[in-house]
Amino acid sequence: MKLRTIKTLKYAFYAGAGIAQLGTAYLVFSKGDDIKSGIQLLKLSSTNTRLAFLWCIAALVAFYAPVFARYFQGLQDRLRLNDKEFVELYKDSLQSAINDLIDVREDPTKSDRVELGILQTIVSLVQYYVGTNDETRVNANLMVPLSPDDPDCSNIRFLETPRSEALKQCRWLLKIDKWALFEAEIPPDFCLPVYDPDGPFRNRILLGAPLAFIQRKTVLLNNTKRLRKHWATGVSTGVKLEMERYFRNERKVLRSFASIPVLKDAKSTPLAILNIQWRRTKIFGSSAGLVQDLLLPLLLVLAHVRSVNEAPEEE
Amino acid sequence: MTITSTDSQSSRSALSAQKINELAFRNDDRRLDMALSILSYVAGAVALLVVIKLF
Repeated sequence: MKLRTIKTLKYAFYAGAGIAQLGTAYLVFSKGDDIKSGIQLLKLSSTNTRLAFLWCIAALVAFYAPVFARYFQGLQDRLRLNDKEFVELYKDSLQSAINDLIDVREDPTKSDRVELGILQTIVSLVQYYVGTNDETRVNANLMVPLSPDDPDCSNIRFLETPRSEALKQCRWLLKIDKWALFEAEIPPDFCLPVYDPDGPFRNRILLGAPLAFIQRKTVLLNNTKRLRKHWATGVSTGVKLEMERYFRNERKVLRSFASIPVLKDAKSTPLAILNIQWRRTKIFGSSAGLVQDLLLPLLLVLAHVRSVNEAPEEE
Repeated sequence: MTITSTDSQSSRSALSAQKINELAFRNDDRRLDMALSILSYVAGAVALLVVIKLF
């Protein structure tokens, strides 16, 4: 079924629902007694019985039409990614990313600019999928792994106590390298601890980017107000409270996010973590897999761009 | 250092991003959908109340 047909059906059902709801109410209001007697009489030859049937049909349409309208809405969301114009633009964006990668290989100084361009493409794709506008902007950042003693990481947040012991257990620190879009409200700069996955703090790995870094898998947080099921078993109450406070403070720009590892191959340490955030819940909507599949080729190009300048740290 | 969007004007990917963005804004009908969805709930509730009251 074409996207336009689905859209037409959706609006037809919404219109049908409205007309049927008003019709049901009007029939009850103006011919209530006739409908009642028609039901009691139950003879098809009677006008009142026909009126009662008409009322029943109107009531059924009033009840089910919104259900169908929402079904077509869901279908439209899924098929949005099949739109011809979008597919053409998507192909163009992949071609651009590959050409940009070739440029970076010839001139590595362009890597920052290209990484930023790819980040913006990723944001645009997610934005297209979730159908946002200026008020509900999607943003993304790229977090890079640094060594725990890196001087660039003076502000480490969500560290277990005692801090000196927690720092000893840190294998990497994740620091934001760049944002796709500059916004006045972007969260402040800080580093996140990633504990040694084989060490005693392995059950204290933080949700989001650190977990995605260790597991080499996408971590999806659909609602930053509901963190309970996402905590690792060993995370202390202090860290939990600190993080909950952070998400509470940033709720205007960050209500849901996805942390995706940027991998050159499935077994290597991630070169970076891509965090995509939105100021509403459910960043990837109801079909998270679809969006992730769409982003995969761009993530791969991003990994190759990153690896031009950066020798990956081996585990 | 955090790099902002102004640094990327010349990369091809940034230009592609801009085109997808324009399409996203052009195709955005979520607000209308949400309004219709809420309206259908409200109309349904009102119709139900009328039916209950009059029957």
